[in-house]
Amino acid sequence: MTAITSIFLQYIRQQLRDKYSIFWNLAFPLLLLTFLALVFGGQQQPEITFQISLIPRDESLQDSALLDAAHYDSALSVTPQQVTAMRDSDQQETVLHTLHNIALQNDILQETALQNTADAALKKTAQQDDILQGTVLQGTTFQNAVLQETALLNTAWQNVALEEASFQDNTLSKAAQNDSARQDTVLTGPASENSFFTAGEYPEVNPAAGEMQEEKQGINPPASITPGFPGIQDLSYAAVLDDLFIGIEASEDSRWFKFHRLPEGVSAEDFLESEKTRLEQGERHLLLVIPEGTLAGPDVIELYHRSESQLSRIAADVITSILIEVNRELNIASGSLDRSELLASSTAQIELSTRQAERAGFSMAEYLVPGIILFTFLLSGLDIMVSRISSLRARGILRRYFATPLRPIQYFAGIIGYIIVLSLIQVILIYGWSVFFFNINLDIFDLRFIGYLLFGLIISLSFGFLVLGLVKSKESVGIITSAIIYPLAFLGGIFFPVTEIPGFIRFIVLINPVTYLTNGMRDLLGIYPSTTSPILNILVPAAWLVVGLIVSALSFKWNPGGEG
Amino acid sequence: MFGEKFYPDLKQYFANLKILTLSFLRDRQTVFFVMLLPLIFLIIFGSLYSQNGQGQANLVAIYYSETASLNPGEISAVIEENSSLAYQEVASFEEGEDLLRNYQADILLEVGDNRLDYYFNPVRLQDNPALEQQAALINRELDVRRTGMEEYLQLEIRDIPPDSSQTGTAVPSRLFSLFPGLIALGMASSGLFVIVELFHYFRERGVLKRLGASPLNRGSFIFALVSSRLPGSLLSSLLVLLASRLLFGVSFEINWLLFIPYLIIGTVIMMGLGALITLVTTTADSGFQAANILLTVMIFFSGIYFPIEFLPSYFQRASTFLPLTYLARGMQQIMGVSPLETGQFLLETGSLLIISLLLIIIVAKKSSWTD
Amino acid sequence: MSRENAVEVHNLKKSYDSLKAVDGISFYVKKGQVFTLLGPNGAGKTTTIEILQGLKTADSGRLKFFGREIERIGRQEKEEIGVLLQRTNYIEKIKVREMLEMFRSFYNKSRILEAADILERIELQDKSDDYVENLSGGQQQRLAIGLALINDPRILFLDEPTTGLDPQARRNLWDLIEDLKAEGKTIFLTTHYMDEAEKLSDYVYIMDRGRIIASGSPEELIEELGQDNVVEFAHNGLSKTALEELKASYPDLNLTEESISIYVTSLTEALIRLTAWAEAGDFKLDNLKIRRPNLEDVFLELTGRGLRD
Repeated sequence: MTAITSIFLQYIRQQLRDKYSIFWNLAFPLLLLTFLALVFGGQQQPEITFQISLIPRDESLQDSALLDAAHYDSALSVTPQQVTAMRDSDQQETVLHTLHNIALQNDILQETALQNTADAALKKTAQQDDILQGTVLQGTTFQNAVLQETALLNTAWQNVALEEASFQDNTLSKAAQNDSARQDTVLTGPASENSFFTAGEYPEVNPAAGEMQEEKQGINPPASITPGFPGIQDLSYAAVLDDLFIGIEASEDSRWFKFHRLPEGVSAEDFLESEKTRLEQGERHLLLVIPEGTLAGPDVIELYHRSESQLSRIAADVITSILIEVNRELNIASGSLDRSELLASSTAQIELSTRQAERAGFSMAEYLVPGIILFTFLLSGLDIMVSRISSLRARGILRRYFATPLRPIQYFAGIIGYIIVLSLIQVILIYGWSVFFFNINLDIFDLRFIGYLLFGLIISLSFGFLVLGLVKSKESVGIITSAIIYPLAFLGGIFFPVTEIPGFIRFIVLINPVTYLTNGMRDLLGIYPSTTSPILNILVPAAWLVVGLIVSALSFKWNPGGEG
Repeated sequence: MFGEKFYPDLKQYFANLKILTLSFLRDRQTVFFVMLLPLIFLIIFGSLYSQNGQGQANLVAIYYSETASLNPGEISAVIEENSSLAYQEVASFEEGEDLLRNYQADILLEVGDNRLDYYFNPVRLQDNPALEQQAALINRELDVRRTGMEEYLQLEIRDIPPDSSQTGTAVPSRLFSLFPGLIALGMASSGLFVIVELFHYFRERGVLKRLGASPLNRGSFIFALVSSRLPGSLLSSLLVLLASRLLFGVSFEINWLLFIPYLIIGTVIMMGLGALITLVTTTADSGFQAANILLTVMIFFSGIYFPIEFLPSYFQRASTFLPLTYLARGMQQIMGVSPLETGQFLLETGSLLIISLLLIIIVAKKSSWTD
Repeated sequence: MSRENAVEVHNLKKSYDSLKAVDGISFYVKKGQVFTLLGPNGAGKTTTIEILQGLKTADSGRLKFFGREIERIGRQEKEEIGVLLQRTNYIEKIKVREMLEMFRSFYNKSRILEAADILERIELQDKSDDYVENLSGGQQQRLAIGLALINDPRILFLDEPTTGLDPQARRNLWDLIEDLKAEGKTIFLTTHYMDEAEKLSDYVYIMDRGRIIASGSPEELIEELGQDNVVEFAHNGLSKTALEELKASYPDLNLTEESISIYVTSLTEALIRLTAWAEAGDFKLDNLKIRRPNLEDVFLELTGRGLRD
């Protein structure tokens, strides 16, 4: 047996006998992969449903609203049975269709983290756009969870900020501005009805409940509502909204929502109180207090949510967006606005160079696999190899080795052989695991990819030698490797995209060879276009390799602190 | 088994406390894993969660095509009134694309004949939904202005219960709840290992035996060792608070009367978990490794870096068995990130504390100082 | 008699499962003297000394500590005891002086020494700010002695104090123990080095398999052998018949792994007889040595085994 094989076998034995190394080196990457894929990939059926309570401002309204449904103008009236037929029909003006517009085109739903498993219709629509759009929907990226939440909240906040800051002529924002309490919270504030009515333009609307019937007959349409849509002012908001929610319940998106309605024999007031308690306890995400008025004039719909609950905020956001669209549709329905007057718009993404752009979409697991492989390489080169060598070095064993005719090259060949075998096992495990559990479809046996993989492993080993060369004491070596691995991994885009990190951290992202390696790996697998040029993906890691080799060649010592 | 020795002796307590604290804080590994590593993660995740959350406006590159029917004033007025947007006109579509590609612009808007086409950088997956939302807002507002739409349904959004915590900030909640989580993590790293160290490591190295041969009061030694970890928790929490303020401009309305005791209680609770590990392991090495693995698992499943809300429900259920979940939540309440739910808070903290103390006492009773 | 005794032990027993580690031993330790428990590994020395250090409780037996009959060595007694364990490790990242200060705090008695005095005594003044884990083996052992002295104990229990030390460090430690003895400290030590026992002890108990098999001052014990000289030679290549022949003349010869030793009163007569026997059997008396008997011989005589077998 040659010296190389005996050293190699020694390390393999050590690995197999230490159950903790087996955990950290083999099981941990799989756990990490599974965890991240589950969190961000949404492989599970979502078990989140927005619990929304619909509360009439007065219970007497509910019956009348339902009754009214029979008298809807056809353009606005939809029964659950009609929903399916309507989806592909020409009835563009229906409120229901608005909802579908919202669900399919508007980003609100797409933004929610729940979208990871958004249904096939959503996926299809999005995939038509662009590969990357498809990616978003399949929840392939970090965006769909954590960062996305940031974006979402950001949006929600911007929504309000926009409403507050820029929509000066909007009655709602006027009402909001009149109420100083509103400025206290990000999303909300109890804008009082009073402020609305003082700022309101339709003093003839009587908010008192119970006088509904009279009002319906007695109120003149506001000047701005043109009579081009006869009968609309007779519709109650309650009826329109009821229709909307029934439509949602009948639609493909119904599983996102569960609407709770006023049970029989309960007063609206009591219902509101009990639902508020449920909201506090987290059993509801949103309460809607449905106005009693008719379309003859504006009315206020109150949304109760819990701002510290994320789902509650998302629910509020979704419903807000739907209601804004409803408003627009009502304008169109009333004839005060023609669809042609609206600006046409589209969203698209610019082209970036990607080598296998034909690939349509990928799953979170597919996005993660190259990253996790690279992460295990970092562990192998920076943690396993470094700690093995430094531990022998600190105990003087290495020096003892070299008191025999063993040549350094033989020793390194032995340990690197062990690292390569370990890495190979890791790659096979990760790949097998994700094929089995996440059904991935990646061509990791592509020769170019394998070559690049090897390149990545070499870079990681050179980092290891860099640390061994620069840091002498065993204790510090352990610390320094941890201090390097995590920033390299997290700021190298291994687990989620980091292109947008602000400030000085961005500098780390830019000089981090892992950034380029992950980009290169994903690009080669065709699952995510590289944000950096292919040349840089080779050059930057290679530069680190050169630095690592030079520095460690100059400063590596067999027996730091000792003589010789 | 302790007999009269278990009741602490103040002089010995303070002498032990001094030594053990020094021993703890002088250790480079401690300093690194209890303080620097959380700080590194704070910076990494803080940066991630605060991306674009720092109030810097998103830039819209506007390209007016030859067929543009909207006049520049209309669009710029809308954008100017939105404090989170800024704009820049570009002379060609390609110029806009370049800006987009190089992250110098966030949205490219091509103005055509009564239409607006928005373009985004596909790489910015995490931002595009928000940016597309912005685009939709621009559209909506332009529609409102150009057509004089009616506002039929007026939205009033009310919060239940009134949110008394952070005010007037646009900081995402993820960023906000990161810091209490990190402080809880600091408590975990400083508390989890100590019981293993005491009853496995010190025993294996014969330190306990030598102490046992002196008239040392064991109670004061145990209490000193337990309290010697509190400066670690305290320092790491101060570091997190300082970093949150200096680096991310986030400050908290901390209930200090609860904060300090909670640091102590939380650290003791983590020691209880360490006691459990001590009970089920036989050597210091396996104890430390098990603690390490448990800590790693807790980092993932306690909602510190990653929101557990997004986990499948069986993982969410698993997280209810991890004390760190409760510590992170309790810390959030104390730091005003979420409202204090006194009853539940007391119940959770109280029962965890009692279980932990029981576990520590069981381990202390079971362990030998003389082997 | 009991007034002069620091420690008295009667019929002390301690078993681990079926193993009788200490099997009914009795002894006493006089004040101001050095007492040594000599015996091979596994003889029960450490169990005995750990009972006296208060680390273990005997299964049965009576124990007197400075004239007071006690059940076990408790906290009160520990105030007066200085302890050196077979192996002492320290809490890491603690400096030498801090370690001494910490141990000072453990004692409540009024007479307690200053850390600085101890440092001087154990000659570690210039290491007082070093971390304990960075001391050499000998320095760590000196510090352990220092910790044993910090409470100015009336009796010191030293468990194999020089095991694992290099010859120089060993000699230094012997000097230190002799100084302590000169100061009138009572010292109880265990060892398996006969030279150590011979050099330091006033009184030796030889222990084997849980029992005390002999006692007395080193001189007395050696004298009891009744032999003036030991003749020793290597036995490699010795035939069985030749050995039987020799045994006929010297029935109590000791055969160890490498050598044969014979106790003789008349050296000249023995040498003549041996050379004749060797010549007859064509046997070389390789490595022939003539020396005075020592405690090792006593042990060998008593048990038929060497101390370090």
